[in-house]
Amino acid sequence: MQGIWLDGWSKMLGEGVQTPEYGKMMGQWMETWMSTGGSVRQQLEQTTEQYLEQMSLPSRKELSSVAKRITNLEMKLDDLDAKMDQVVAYIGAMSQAMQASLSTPANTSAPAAPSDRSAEKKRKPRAKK
Amino acid sequence: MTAFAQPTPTLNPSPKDGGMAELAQAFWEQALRWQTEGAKHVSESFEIELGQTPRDLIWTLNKAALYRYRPSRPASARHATPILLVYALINRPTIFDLRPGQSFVEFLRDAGFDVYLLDWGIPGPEDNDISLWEYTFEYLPRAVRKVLGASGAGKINMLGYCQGGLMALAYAAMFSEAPLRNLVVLTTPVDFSKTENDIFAVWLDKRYFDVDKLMDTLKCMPEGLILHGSKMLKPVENYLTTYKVLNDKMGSADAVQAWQALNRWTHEGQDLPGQVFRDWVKDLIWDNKLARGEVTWKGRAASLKNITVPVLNVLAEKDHIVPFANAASLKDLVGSADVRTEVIAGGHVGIMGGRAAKTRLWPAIVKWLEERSL
Repeated sequence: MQGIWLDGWSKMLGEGVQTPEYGKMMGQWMETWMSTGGSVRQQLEQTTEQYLEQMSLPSRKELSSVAKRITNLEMKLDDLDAKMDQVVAYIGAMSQAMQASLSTPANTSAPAAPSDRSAEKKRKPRAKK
Repeated sequence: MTAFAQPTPTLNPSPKDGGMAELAQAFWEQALRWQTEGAKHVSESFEIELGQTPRDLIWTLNKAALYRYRPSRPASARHATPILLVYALINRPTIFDLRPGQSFVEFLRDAGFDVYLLDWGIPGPEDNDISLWEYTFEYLPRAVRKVLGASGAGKINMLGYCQGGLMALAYAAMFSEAPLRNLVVLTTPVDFSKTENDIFAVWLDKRYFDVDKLMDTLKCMPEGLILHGSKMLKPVENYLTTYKVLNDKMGSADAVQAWQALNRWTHEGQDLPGQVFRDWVKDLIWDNKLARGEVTWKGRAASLKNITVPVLNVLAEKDHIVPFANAASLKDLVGSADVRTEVIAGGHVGIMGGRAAKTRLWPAIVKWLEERSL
């Protein structure tokens, strides 16, 4: 019996809140509330801000502004952190590449590099006596 | 400790003789039982600890925090691709981790996933100017980078739920180069032109609803309004039937605790930043900008066609918050060739937090991901 009762109410109310009339009623109610309660709230906020200013105390708005600046700094730090990660990764890759090139055995098919002595000869032609 | 009584007569007494005296007696017995036991279960639900799975904080930005859950399997037995869970800015992400045995996080972790959670945090008045798109395009990519760094993986799986799903979609749509392997979205609205059974479209009709005036007055959408607004979508179910459900479960300790955890989560709301609410109403409900490719950030446009990774789109069969047609449209909007739409029995919240989740939704997600996360 209870189940039938609940199902009946559910169907009726569920359909009721879906109607455009309900949406319109909500909108009108909200409009009325904002025109009355909302304006009182805004006036109260203004008065509080003036009071805090006279007392040399920071308002919520000013504290929010500081909080936003801190978040911006956090983002900049995060960006720097990302760049640092890139630099570290780049250095790591470079280091690996250098180590790999150092550990690679000399390529025998390539033309033999001139010996130090022959190079020396080329650089310093024998002086004529 | 809660004392659990033995199963007692049903709420639908049917006295053999149908006499009014017996009916009245049964009613009063139940009323008394509800007063002594039921009310106690309801009040105790607010003491239940949610989100108990062990985890470590690995990154923060403003109020947002990224957590990594401690794995239950050795690294060699885990999937290579980590998963990042993204919940909505409304309510707490503990819906993913209600209590031991009723935790999607625990389920994923035990299935071998490296699990991360992005908790947007509880916004304060100083966050009322942060837009939905700033959270999506500034906070989310940073969290993704941290997941990659912490896991050492090259790509991630991302799972977004409800509004978090929309944010995940917008992120993937904006950054075609995003390091995503798979995208899972649950009960996610995406095409707001499909207004069939969309109660919010009726309530927030621009002819009657002045969102700017409301947010100029309130600065944010207070959690109380969100809670009761959501409950009014199905007033009888949310204000009455839920307690009947508890009454029916009172013979089982586990069933009562499951109800309590979900009840606590339902009532653990948070204010929604004013700008986020404005964006939700104007950019999405009124202008359907994401589906139309008109969401922009720093000169870039988010196109859902940019999403080419496999997508699993999960819909709840009895979703009263996100209309079926709205969420189901995703398959026609993304550029991916691998889109699967899965309809799970249950409601918007029940599919994730209900007792049947561990046999319906969670295994379906894990199976789909396992086939694509190797």
